[in-house]
Amino acid sequence: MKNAWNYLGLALVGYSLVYGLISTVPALPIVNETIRNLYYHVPMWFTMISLMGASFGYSIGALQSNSLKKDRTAAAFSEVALVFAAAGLLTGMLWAKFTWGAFWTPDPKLNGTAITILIYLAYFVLRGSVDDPEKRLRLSATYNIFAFVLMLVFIMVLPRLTDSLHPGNGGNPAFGAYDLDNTMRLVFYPAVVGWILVGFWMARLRARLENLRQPLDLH
Amino acid sequence: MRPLFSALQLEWALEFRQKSALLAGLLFVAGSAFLASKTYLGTPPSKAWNALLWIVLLFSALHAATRSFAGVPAARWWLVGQWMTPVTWLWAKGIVTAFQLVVLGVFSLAMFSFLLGLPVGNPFGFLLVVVLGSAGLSGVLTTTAALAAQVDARASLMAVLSIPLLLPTLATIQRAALLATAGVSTFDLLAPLGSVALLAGVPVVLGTLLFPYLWKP
Repeated sequence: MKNAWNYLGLALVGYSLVYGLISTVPALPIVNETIRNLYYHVPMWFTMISLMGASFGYSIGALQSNSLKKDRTAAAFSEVALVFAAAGLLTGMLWAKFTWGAFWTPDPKLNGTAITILIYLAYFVLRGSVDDPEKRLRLSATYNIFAFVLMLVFIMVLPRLTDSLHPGNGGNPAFGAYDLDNTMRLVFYPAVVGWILVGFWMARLRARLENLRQPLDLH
Repeated sequence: MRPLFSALQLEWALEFRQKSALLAGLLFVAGSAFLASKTYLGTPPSKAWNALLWIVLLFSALHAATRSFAGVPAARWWLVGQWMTPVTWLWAKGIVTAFQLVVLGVFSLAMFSFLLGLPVGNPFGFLLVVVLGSAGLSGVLTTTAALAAQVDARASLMAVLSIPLLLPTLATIQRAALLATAGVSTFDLLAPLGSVALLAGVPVVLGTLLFPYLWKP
């Protein structure tokens, strides 16, 4: 069973999509039924960060071994991570419209997301502006490592500068401490694991496709 | 320390041989401050004043840092490689760039207070924020300049690569600057200044680790 992990991911995602809608949730003021977005919105960020972490790992490998294959794999993981960033942003904006009253607010987590997306778009601009593959490997892998570590530091620092509107921050009702009852955990954790597995599957397929397009690459 | 000191002497001499470059930066700041004063007419509210100052400072810093590696002829990369390790060279470049950015920052502050007034409660604290903040931009800018210098479309690439990485540093600087504007005492500014220094230090460590890989063979 070569694809066991992938099918497990698909099954978990399917389970969380269905049970996210039909399971019972605690009735809370303001959030009401939108609390179900926990199953669809939060896993996107976990998946995005995991994919970016994998891309960071492949970039380190590419710099150490000068392997173009690893460089292309790092790019593929970043691309899929950006897809998940877009999905996380869209699900979050819809939710924010119903609970905060606006699609976009100057919330530190939103700013962090915007910065993250800008950084990874810059990574692709950098890749696009270098023609020589060896040089592209050196420059883009360096930038990926530099940017990923800085981004992690910022994501940890930025929200501490100001209060966030997000649940669990600044005295807002949290999904964590007392709201996330055991029924919700039973959907939330499988959703996170499932989306991460599916994200990795997508990224590996993308990397394979890119690597197959280079028939004369000897690395 | 000795190799770093000699490298600094070399970079310093090379940098100030072309005085026109630094003068161009100062002129950019003066021109932008003049433009701001002519379009605003009078002293803007402190938040707008701060935003204008840091935008002008950021773009003059971008311009100054882009030059740090862009002007280096291919032969000098090779020659410098005979004389010192890549990391020594990066540090010399970074320190010279940081010095230029501090000059630009203090000059921007002087021009702004001359042309637009100084709506700041704690001017000494604000000067500290400007000095530390503009020097703190050097870490990210020097590393991205080394990266962008190896690509043809470097001027635009420099902005694309470094601005997202600088935004969080700028956010912490802005927080310290607004506190100083509100008149918070210099002692109470030490904690936000510390977080500026911390955020400025991370890219220096990363750049030191990564620069040998950027070295042109």
